[in-house]
Amino acid sequence: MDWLLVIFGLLLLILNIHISRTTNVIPLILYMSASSIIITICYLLMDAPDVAMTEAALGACLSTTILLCCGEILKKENLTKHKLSFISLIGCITLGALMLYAGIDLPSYGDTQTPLHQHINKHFIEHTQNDIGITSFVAAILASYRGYDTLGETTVIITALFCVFCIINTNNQDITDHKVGTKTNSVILSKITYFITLYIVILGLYIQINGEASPGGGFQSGTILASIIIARSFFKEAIDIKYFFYLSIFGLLIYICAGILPVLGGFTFLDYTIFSAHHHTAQKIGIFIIELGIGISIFSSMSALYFLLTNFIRKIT
Amino acid sequence: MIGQTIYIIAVLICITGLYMVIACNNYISKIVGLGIFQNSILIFYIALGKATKGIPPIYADKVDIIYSAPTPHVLMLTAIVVGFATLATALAIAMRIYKRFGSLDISILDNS
Amino acid sequence: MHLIDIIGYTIITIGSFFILTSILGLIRLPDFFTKIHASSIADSLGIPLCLLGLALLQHSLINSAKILGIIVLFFVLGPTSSHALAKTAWIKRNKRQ
Repeated sequence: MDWLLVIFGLLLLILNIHISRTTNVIPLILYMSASSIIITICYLLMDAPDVAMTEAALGACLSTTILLCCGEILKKENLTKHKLSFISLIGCITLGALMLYAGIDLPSYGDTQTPLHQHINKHFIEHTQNDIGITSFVAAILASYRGYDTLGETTVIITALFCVFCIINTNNQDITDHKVGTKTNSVILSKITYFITLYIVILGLYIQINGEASPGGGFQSGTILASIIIARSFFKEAIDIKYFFYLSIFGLLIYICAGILPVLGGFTFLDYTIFSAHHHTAQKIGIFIIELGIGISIFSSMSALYFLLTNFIRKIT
Repeated sequence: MIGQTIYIIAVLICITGLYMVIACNNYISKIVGLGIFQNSILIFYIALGKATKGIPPIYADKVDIIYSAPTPHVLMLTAIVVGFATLATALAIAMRIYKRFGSLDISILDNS
Repeated sequence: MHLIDIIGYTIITIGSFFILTSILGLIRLPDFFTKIHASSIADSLGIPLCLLGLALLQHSLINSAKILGIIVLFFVLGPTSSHALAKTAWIKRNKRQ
């Protein structure tokens, strides 16, 4: 559907130009969320369901939540530009023209004779069913062929959590000082949250376990399960934040254990052949273990990030 | 030229985000501009991986099937998660600046 | 094209008409509380109708059952979000006065 993608792309472009010219903070953040949703549709049109799910969960939902809490304290301010912003506009347009000139030789959209489709992707597509035996190529590359990168990615989220904690802590506060939760007296919110928690748990576990057969995996399910904790914080005194710290480290430890166990057994790091005799089953066991680790660690990191930021903002207003 | 429309759109969104980072006076605008910049790069990479008459990279048991390339999807998954981590850290720093100085506007912060 | 495909496409068109009505109301109505009413039309009627039409177009029964599950989710969460927005706005307005 080439023309549909062009229509959504032009809509995205007009929305982003409008974002750069808006003067209030709350409409800016809401337009950014709408832009993320349109980008999710574009990803679906470009045959990328995994990326679409992650963008919808992280970009459209969680980023908007965190940004809105920060934008709420700047409600009355007017967003202006520099006095010399015209020069930077000329500079950016020149840079864009240079990039377009450099991209004249780019292949047409959808061309399959490019080097991208020939060498490494052809190898992955042809050999996944023999080597690993799972149906989702993206999960096979993410968890088995390129498992090191995913280890780094999980560590980045935990590092961001600790960075935010260190930045926000003032005057040697203890970790237990970050209890959050408001007590709104809304019966509707509490009853609906009790009902919807079961729903979200089933959905999250379904996405987590089906990570190797369909789009999904640890990242998306971790974010979806974190929404339960965020919804719960609207009407109850929330959980102590140190448990989320321990839980995120525990998730990372599960991942590292799946890598260290083969080393103790004589293989290389993250070599899943130690887990079973038949090598397809071994790969599936290994991928299941590391997706579990990723899911736990992302779930606790996202909840803790939300709590840290919103609690701090409530204290400074 | 028609076959490269999506790349042109990605470049234009990229320079919009960059303009917001450079020219806006408020820190929240700069952070949102950084997010727009990151999103445009992701669109560019995933558009490179699409194959005409292809299906998403999930194994289907038929003959003569073309898949879209799975490697850009994996790299962009990582990029989205790392982008969110940088957003959270940038917001924490912005909130500390607001607590210390009382404003997030560069023209006010430069004079204090 | 079977009959059920035609019914599915018709229901999707009706659903999209309701979403257009909701967008028109969101732009043209004056106050915040009336805008919440306009946006809740898309949440409770527009999107579930579109999803119902989509469920009729599916080729397998499991996919239709999953889409019906999503419709239940919209019926539960749509009014909840409108209630949360309206209650917060009411409390803030009363505090301001």
